[in-house]
Amino acid sequence: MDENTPHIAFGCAAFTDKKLPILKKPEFLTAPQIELSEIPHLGKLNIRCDSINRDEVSKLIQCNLPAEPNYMSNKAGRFAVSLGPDEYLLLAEPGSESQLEQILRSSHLLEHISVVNVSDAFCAIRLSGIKVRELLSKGCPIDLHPNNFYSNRTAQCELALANVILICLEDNEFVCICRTSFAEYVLDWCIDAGQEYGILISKKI
Amino acid sequence: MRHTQSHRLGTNNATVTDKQKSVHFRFDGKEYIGFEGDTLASALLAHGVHLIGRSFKYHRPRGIFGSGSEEPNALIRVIKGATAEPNLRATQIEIYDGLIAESQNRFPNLKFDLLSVNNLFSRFFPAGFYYKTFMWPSTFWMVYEKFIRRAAGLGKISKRHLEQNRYEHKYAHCELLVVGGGAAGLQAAVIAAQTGIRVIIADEQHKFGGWLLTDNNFNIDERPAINWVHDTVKKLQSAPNVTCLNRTTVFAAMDDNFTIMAERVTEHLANQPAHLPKQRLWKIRAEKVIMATGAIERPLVFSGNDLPGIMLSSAIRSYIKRHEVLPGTRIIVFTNNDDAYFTALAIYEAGGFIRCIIDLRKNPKSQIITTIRKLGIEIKTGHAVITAHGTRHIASVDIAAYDCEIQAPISDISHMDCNLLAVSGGLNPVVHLHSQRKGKLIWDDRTLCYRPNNSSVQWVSVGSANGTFQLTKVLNEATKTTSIIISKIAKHYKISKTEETINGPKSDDSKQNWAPTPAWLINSGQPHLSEKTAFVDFQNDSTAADIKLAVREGYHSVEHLKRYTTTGMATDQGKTSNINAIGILAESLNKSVAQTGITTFRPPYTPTSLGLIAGRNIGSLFDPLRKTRMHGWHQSKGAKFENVGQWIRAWYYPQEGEEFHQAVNREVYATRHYAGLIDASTLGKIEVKGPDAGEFLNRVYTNNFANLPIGKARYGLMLKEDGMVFDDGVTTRLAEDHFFMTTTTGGAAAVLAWLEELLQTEWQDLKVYLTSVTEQWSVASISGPNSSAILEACMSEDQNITDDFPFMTMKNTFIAGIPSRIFRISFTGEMAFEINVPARYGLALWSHLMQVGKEYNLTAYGTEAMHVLRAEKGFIIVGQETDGTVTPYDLGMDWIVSKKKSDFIGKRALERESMNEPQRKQLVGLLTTDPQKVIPEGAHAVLNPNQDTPMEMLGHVSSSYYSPNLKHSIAMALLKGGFNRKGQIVYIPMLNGEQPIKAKIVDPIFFDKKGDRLHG
Amino acid sequence: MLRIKCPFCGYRNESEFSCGGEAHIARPSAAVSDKLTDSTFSEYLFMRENPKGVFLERWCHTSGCRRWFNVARDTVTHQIYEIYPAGKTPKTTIGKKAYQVNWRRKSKAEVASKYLKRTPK
Ligand SMILES: [Zn+2]
Repeated sequence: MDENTPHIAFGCAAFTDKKLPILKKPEFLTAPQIELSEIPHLGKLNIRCDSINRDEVSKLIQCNLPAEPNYMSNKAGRFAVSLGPDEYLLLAEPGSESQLEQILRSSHLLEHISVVNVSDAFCAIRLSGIKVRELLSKGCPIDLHPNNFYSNRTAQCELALANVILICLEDNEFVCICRTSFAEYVLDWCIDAGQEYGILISKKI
Repeated sequence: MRHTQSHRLGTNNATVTDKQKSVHFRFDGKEYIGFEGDTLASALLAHGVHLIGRSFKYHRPRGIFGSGSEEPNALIRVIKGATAEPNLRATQIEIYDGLIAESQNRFPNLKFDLLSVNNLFSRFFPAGFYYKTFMWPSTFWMVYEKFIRRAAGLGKISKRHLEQNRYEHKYAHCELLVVGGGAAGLQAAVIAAQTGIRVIIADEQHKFGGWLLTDNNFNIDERPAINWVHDTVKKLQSAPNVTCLNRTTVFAAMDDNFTIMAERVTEHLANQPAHLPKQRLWKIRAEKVIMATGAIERPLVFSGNDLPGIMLSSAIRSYIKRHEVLPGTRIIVFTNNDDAYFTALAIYEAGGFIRCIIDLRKNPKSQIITTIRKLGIEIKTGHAVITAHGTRHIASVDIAAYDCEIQAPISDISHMDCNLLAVSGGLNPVVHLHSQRKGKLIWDDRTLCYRPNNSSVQWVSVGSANGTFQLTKVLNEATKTTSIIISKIAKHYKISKTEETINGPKSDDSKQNWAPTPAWLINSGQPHLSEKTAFVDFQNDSTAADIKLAVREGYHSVEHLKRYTTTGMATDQGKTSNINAIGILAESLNKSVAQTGITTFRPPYTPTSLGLIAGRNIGSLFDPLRKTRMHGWHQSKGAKFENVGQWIRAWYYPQEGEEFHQAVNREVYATRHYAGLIDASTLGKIEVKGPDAGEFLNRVYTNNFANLPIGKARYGLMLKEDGMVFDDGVTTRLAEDHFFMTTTTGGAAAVLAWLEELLQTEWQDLKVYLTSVTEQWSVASISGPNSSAILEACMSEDQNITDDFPFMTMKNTFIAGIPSRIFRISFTGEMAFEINVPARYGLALWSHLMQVGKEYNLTAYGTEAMHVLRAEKGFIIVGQETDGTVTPYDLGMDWIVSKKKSDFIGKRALERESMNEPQRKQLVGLLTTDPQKVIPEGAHAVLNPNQDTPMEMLGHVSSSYYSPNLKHSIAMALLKGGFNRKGQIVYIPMLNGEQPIKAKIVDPIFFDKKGDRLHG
Repeated sequence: MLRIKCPFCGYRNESEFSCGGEAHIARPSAAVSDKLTDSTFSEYLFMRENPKGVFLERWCHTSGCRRWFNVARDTVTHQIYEIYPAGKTPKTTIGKKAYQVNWRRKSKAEVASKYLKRTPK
């Protein structure tokens, strides 16, 4: 069964159940300054491995597991986010997660590492626009100044009442990864907190 | 009728008010006109309105007293649409077109207040009145409380406030936070800004400048001070690294420079734009903080000092300079220092008539005094105002020559009429934030004030907040201190060295000799009479007499005095009263002020709206609601939901015309007779992986898991180290080194955290990785005699899983083409299968099962039916049958506690003597004599319902339902020595005179005791 | 609100962390019950230090990386003197002293915990 079968949920219900697009902005703004959309079915693997096995795992998944905490590395559409001294989240193209999981499970490293498919456990939300940092600072206690939180920086932190993984892709482009059941809250919070900047929730990927 | 602005000056030099723009507003039902930039206080004073409230205890008339957040009297309720906000200070409310304001604490109106009879009987309200009067007998407290609450009311809150007012929070980070935008703050910010570091400067008022907006006749660097303010603010506002926040009160200074402030974003606007909040709460983490919070003038304490028309000298000067309002026509100035002479000068320049200046000092000399003398204004040195007279406004004062040494009048009293009295008792540095940070204070005997000791590396006070009152010195201190503090942030931040950045600008402020004379309480010669009306804390109505009474009763510590007399405990936190109270206490004890000490200031600096503290966390954003992937289906079938932790789960699915019990009974019955389907997606799920996974589970569960065969599932009980049940669930071995653990819905996060804690801190040698997969899998659990048939019907023809699928095993397969993990486990006692699919297929699986199950009478059931089904079987629910004080033995689950394992979490604790005490509360079943009567959960059981209260209680009912399968009410209870009481009768006493419920103690398994149904 | 330096994530607000109480409480194994009287076991289970001054305690970065670590913190000033890995002892002079003067170093429970480093399978 593939993902195009109509009765298989396309992405997170927080987005699919809503009538998109949603636009909220003050009248004086001509265009929203924040855009928000889900990246549905992004492959997500939780990888646990010690630093000694990091290089070998990196080779197998064709993406470097970052050695430095709170950073992300990316290669050919795959992103590896560091979550802890021995914990990583690999974001991969939709559908590739099972294959990647198999590669790692069948490797000789199996005894020393753990790989768990968490693609459906988390929802990836893309936020972009010139006011994104302003919006996030209403709920996120970490220092989001561009000198401190720049491209490829990541953080596991609070966003209002949800715990999220925040990733800076570009200066004005972020990915926020939260547990799927918190996606609706994160979305509603963003709509409420972002209305002064103008916010558009779209289906665009 | 619109009143004329009789007290507005004709000039056009106001530093704040813009006379070009009129503003219409209402106060207590009357219409008034003010100007843009006016506060409600300045606009009312412009109309000659002083009286603005009644005092808290005695309902004495009170008028506008100050000009800022120190205001103790002028508390106002502002009405906007359907909402109203109480307890705002008139001195801080900016007027706007259409503002509607009301005075508070008066009934039926301001001029005639019924409760002011309290004033006539003021002997009833001495210090500690409430403590003494309402202490005994304690059973009367309920009566007293109503009385006190009505008497103590400070304003009314509107119930619809949060619907119409939005608040929000915002985090910010900076290297330097400057609190206060007066001379010191502006200079500090401008010096810091040039280094490129992030600077935030916040000021409480709507315009930056602080006291320079009032003392605008000084020059800074040979230009008018006000121009210096404008230039500096412009510089700061154009710097990209500086955030300038006016209308922003820093109200809390916390550990490691976590600083909280309230920005009034739109509440000063006539039309609040919908996209912006009323107020914004800033939570700032600053590397360093400069506290340039200024100083507040304190009054002098004498009889009748609380009459409307008596105001702080500095406030009067502010109204003249900022708003061009002169709030009186025949004015007396009463002072112990030089500052009041600047007020006199301002009054004179505004064309006001000064009857005389009364100075407590015998022979004061300074440039400003000479200037005033030259203007021909009478100065009575070595004199004091002994008493002020008037009914609703000051009308006259008694004056006498006064000796501050012996603290007594030394001449006959003379009488002088006036309608405005300016009082000045010296300056108190605003040390609140410093004190909140637990910074120490030093008493300065020369300047008569407490100032900060400035010993922290994280924050520093400058300017008048630091007890430095002369302008050139303030600017110099701000400059130098800022340079030092910036060098501590990082070496690479350099300040270019110019005269301005080394020493700061120069001013011609002539306040050179700042040395007030101490006079904490003016003695009328008949203190027993006068001290009862000599007010120290205006807002809480505490008097000099109260303080002296407290001292006589032994309250000598300043902390005790504060609580006993409530001095300094009102919403103004004693900004104008604390030091005077301490001065009077010190004199009464024959101690110095330094020896007496000072109370600690605590947040918030000014009253803060609870809505602001809540911010966005209200309504639908109050708490995240977590929904499963099948939620949409439940909703479309009209399910009622219940909250389980943050999860929202289908509770029952009422069909048309069905009530709660009917729906639940139908679901329970259908599940036992045909098949039922429940959404169990919220169960906690943890992947346990690693070579030591088996050993790890052996240590955290009471039973053995290391020997569990691959593909097999086992129920496990988890204890905490104290031997009490912590969680339960089924864990399945997927591979030699790989387990799949399930936990309770509510316990999922706590279990994962606890297991991580053990691995990281206790058993670092174990190689185990834990990953939460709660949301990776959607779970549909199908139970009942028809469940295997439905499952078969969902499989492709070549699949046959229900044969050769023993109880407590697991299979990987496909259902309707969806990759699934199926567990043959049961929480209902029926043959049951728990189907786990990747969450994206959750809804598809559910819909498919319901579709296929139609022929087999498959019924969706909710959490309530699940509870009944499991209770019929006597299965416990952690958190319902357990409460952190229940061991496995108490639950009768000895079978699950391994006797062979040498250790597991909780093992040693279970061996303690008290754990095996036979009178512990133990889990039993209860069957009511009346089969229809369902006992309320949480009710207590007794042996004899006719005994006197308090009754001897056996224990409580933990679960109670009506079982449609048994056609009988069933309950579980934890009763003392319950295991040995089977067969006994207990009674459950009810409230409201209902008859006690009679029940028999039985075994807690009510249905299918042998468990035959598990196998279909 | 304190600012705590998670060894992995760096400085974060105290609200992201949870405090796990006193550090360095060795868990005695039930396997050596002859050495572990009820009173010895209760030292482990119930007794906790509550000093005015430097305290060695465990913290977890709950809302972040979920890692546990140890902290030497002054309970009066909240000053943090040292942050060091779980399972290790402090290295600073202040931390070492706080470790050594703790009564627990001589407690029967701690002595009992040394009999068995790893419970047998
Ligand atoms: Zn961390």
